[in-house]
Amino acid sequence: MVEDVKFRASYNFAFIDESTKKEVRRKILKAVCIPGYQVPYSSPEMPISRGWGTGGLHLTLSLIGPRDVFKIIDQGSDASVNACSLRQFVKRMTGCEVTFDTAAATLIQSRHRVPEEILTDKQILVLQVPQPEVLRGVERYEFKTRQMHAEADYAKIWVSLYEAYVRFGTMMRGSGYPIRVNGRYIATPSPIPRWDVPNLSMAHCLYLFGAGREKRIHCIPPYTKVEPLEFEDVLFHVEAFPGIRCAASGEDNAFLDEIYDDEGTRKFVINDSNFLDKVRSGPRPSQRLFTNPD
Amino acid sequence: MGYVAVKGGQDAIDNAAELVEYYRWRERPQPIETTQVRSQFRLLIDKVMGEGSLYSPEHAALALQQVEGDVFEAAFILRAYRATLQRRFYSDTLNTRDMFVQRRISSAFREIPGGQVLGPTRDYTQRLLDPSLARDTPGIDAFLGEFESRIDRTKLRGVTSFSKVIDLLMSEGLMRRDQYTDEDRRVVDITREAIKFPAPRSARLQMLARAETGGLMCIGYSTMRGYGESHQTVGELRMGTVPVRITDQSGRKRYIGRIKVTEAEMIGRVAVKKKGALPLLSVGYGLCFGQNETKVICMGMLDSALRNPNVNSPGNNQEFVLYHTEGVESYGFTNHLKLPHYVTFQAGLHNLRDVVDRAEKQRGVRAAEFAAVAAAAAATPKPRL
Amino acid sequence: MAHELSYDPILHSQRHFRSLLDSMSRPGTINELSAVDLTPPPGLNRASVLVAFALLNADVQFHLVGMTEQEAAYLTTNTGSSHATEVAGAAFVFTAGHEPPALLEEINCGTLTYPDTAATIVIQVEAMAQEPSADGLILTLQGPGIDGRTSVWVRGLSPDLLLALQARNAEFPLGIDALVTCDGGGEGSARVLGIPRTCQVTWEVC
Repeated sequence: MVEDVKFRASYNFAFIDESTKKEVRRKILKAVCIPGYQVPYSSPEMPISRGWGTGGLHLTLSLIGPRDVFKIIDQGSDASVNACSLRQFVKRMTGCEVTFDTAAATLIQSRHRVPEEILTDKQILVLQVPQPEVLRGVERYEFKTRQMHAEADYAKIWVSLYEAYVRFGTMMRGSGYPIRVNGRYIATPSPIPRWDVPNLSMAHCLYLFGAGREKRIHCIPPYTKVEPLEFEDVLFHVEAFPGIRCAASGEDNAFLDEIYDDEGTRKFVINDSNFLDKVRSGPRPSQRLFTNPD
Repeated sequence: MGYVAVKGGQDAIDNAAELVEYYRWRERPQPIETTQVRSQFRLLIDKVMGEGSLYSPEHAALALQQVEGDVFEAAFILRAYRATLQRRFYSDTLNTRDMFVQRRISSAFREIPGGQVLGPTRDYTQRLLDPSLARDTPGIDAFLGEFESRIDRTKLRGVTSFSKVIDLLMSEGLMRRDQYTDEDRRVVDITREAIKFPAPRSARLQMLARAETGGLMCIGYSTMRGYGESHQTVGELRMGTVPVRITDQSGRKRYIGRIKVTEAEMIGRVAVKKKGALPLLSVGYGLCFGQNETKVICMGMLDSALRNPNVNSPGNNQEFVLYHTEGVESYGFTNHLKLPHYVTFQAGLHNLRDVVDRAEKQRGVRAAEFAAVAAAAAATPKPRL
Repeated sequence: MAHELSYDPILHSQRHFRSLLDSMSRPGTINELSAVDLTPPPGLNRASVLVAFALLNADVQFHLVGMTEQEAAYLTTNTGSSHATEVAGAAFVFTAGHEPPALLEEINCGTLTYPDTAATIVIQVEAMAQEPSADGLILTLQGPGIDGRTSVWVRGLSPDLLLALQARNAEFPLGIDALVTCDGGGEGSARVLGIPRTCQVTWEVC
């Protein structure tokens, strides 16, 4: 006969057991010391599906303390359904204050966008990563990609960029553009748009990348050189929105979402929901803007 | 038209969860007890325990009931629950020779010491839909009464454990314990550290033991159809309960209970590389929680296949087999496609539009060139023929 | 053996880890680990103890240089970690800043395929501050985590140890990461400084 007491659960602060937190914390420190290198970690199962942010959660829950102010966004939006689900989980497990305000947050978890507003040296951005192995598209085997990183043998990815350019006239990497970190490891910035990539280099804040399903952590420390892969004569460009303004705020110079209204008309709106709220109601927060080379 | 920022994400997900419960209960069915799931969906529970990597029939039953029978979700819940449990000990190695056998067969020999014991199996029934299942207590009582009356307790033998078929092959020298001497024999725990490739055998067997049955079946089947090694033979398949023991901090051995497992020893051949080496018999090993014969047979076949790496054959490729039969990871990632991907999609659209623009400009340039050539030709007086 | 009951394994560990993370991410930033009522054994300063409590558990081993059974037992009792007899087997090596550098040769510096398996060395010094005071070394640090360059003053750190560390860190990604610890000015104070293997260090005696 099953007693009710068997199923009564009380959870540790931040859900994860202290032993696992220590392991993740040791791995985070090593990731900081080897910028751009993917550190394997135990990545235990979470009550959230693999591919839905377990890696981001492992980092957040190993970092977070009762005094942190937590923000979480998905595709730039705080109100996105999966962000709501994860926010609910983190709040339930920590009792932390949560916020939509980028400037008020001490710890931000994000899926596939870097906030428009410049982050400070008091903030940590945790990015969710579906595929941490930047070379996986050119080499399917883990034992080989490990060796390639060990030897800085990155010929295959350079060739794939070159071939894409020759075939299509562009390097065909809309999101997750490959970057070189601190002049050594080639890494993925996670599937953020090219618009966000320049924010990673020489930043004030700390960037941590968590891939739960693939069980890897990597890091871009503050004030670290991050270079998107480019050729001398084919340079990196961010997305351009020529002549287009946000339909909700009239502003430009931010990453815009394409939306279709009920009449089927195409409009563009600022993607970063908190940034949009701020430009509509007050002074425009500071950004780092990249000028495309001619 | 004004733009209204959509902020109702939390409400939307709360409503979605409530709707699930509404659809479950709106016809006011008679709720079933977890104990009923536990006792009447035994094989489903065994599958979920194996894939959930947690031996607890009650928790498996509760999980299945909670998610209305979605096996992927139930196994996922068990894995997530397992991750919250404190790890106190590793058990001593189970010795399946101590198994209290309920079922034990061998395809390799017609007769074996102790005999072929079919045990509880539907293998030899016809799969006809049967509406006349015993449903009421009087019917069940009558069946049990009649069945038990036929058991002659004086004939119950004292023998409850059986020797192994592979012991016969080893004693004849056709199979050797030490045939894979240069294999990585470290014992690792893949729940405490990420698997690294090439993986030691202990890591491969752990992953296979927790793997999703359908995935193993798919790849195991492929190895039988030309995508890997040829036919193996069931040396022995046994199912029953084994005692579990731990060694406590003071060094004493403690018995903590029995668990039901299914075990397969699949007989194949050692792949020989050196000339003159004998192609002796090899064992591909499978073991999982509960009664799940498909799983252990495929596990055994794949254990053998993975000892012969070959990137041209999926079943012989450890990264392919181990990564893609991991049920919780594959379930999560395939379904993650339902998450919003509009930023990444849009970023791709930008790229594509650049490419199309460029192609159109090129066509435009060529069209202009052709037009210029045509105009020049028209302007040039044509020679009279 | 003293089991430190005032140490909260959840909340202190988290808070101190954040300080350690800040130290490693921003080398040259001296962080003060929040106070805990502790009685460290004579060979370990309180910052080293708090580093150990935050990061060690039964999954990794430590090695103590120039210390005794007392320090080893204290760490084992409070963290579940065990002392590695071979330096190469330790994930964390605790040493005084004036120790002879020979031990650095044996510390695990990782492999090319798994450079993260390298150890972390915890170097105990007598004092540290952003501004120099008495004699010691002025370290100038450059590299990831530092905007331009930064300076920090330490006393009780041997230049030979720094040279030996530089030699081990010459072939990135192989290398050893360092945390420099000391008791701070005030009662119960504990200071830590991070020097990851990516950091270029120059120094002058003052």
